[in-house]
Amino acid sequence: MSAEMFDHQLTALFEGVSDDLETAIFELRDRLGVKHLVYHAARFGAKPVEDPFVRLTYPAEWVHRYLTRNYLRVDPVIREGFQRSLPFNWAEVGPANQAEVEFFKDALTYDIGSVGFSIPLRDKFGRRALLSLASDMDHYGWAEICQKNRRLWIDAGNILHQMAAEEMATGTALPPLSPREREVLYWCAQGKTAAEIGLILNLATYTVSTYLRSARYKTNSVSITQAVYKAQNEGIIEGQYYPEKKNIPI
Amino acid sequence: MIISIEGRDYQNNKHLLDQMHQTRKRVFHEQLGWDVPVQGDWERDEYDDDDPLYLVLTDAEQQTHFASLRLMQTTGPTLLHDVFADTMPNAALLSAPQIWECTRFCVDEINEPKRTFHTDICASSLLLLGLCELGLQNGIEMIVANFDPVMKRIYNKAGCEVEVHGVSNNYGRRPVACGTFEVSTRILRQMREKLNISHSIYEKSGTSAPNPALKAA
Repeated sequence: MSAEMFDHQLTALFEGVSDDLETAIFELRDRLGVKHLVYHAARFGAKPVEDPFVRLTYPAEWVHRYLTRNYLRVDPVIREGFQRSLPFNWAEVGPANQAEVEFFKDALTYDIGSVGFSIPLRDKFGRRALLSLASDMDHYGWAEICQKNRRLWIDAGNILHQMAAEEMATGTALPPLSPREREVLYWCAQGKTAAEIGLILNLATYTVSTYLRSARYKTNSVSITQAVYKAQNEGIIEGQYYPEKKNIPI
Repeated sequence: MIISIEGRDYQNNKHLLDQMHQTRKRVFHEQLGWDVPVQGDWERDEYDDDDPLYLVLTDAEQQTHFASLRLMQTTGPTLLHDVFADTMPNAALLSAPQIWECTRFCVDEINEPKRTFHTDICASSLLLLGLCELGLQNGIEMIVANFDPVMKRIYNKAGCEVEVHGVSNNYGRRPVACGTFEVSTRILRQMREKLNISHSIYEKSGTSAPNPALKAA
């Protein structure tokens, strides 16, 4: 699938979604067609257990049981998720001891989904978070769904993290746009495609797409169009003129 | 074989990580003379405290470290962001979930598996191929990296496409370049063709059989 198609998918996913994470998490769960969605951030740094920030769609009875039984310290998805950086299927996380075996058994009786996938998230503050998706699909069907949707889920997780960080009143310390990103956005605003921008700036089309992707993430946008709009509005590329030029060869 | 080692796997791979830090000291401190922190036999910096992912070329028994690199999400803290934001902003400020940072790419010249397997392929090419496989399996589409500029020739020879964004001479005896590498099925095909390897060489560490408790459901 092309970058533009992913972009379109992401825009559609967040179209009209609530700004409030508590509500958004339910809306996104339904749109993604999964059984449950859990966003879990370590409010400070990498420790998931102390004062976590959690928004989830699990039934209240399970959340209550989870908290009263102190499962946060038992749940292997949490333990591992905050030490990993690659997305992972829960099938990779085996019960390591008796407490975890009991935990899995208990979880199954609360009908919270039999398979799952988690995406570790990190921001420039070094804060870590985890987006988890659960389903009742069979193991092989789920693996296929994960493979197909991982790209979209990763983007969605990062947008949710951004929303959560705003609710925590800290933001995620997004880096400023680089000169090249501003330049690429400028040409985008002039209606040029990635391939045309590549020709103008003497860059590979793929590299242009990378700058656009980075600019989109850093402006906290769900599409390139929104990134261009924001950059124009904030005067980042407004009134600039970038002549067509040749890249300096190394 | 090539394995990835994440925070959860450090304990089980202490011997490989120990060899890796020693190799890093020899390569970056002794040979390249880069300005890197050294502790005893090891080169180790603050980013190693942050549970980064290491990609390691090792033997079938996973006992010997031949080559390795360190990977971090560019949405989180990264070395290039902190060190090169002023001198090479275009590369150092890249930040998106699909862009990951590769640093500390090194080959152990003592252990390099010249006779053990893949006789005519150098360790760095194998590691790059493993990196491409890992990227494709995990939604990574671009790698931003720092490296000695002389490595560019080796990267190209392995079928990689590198865009160099700048070179700094203020980091030690040898210059440091920042560049981006495309990760795509096209690049994977190109690399496999150049290296004459048709099978997958990367394996996610700790990938076990489906969880029996979950499978029973």
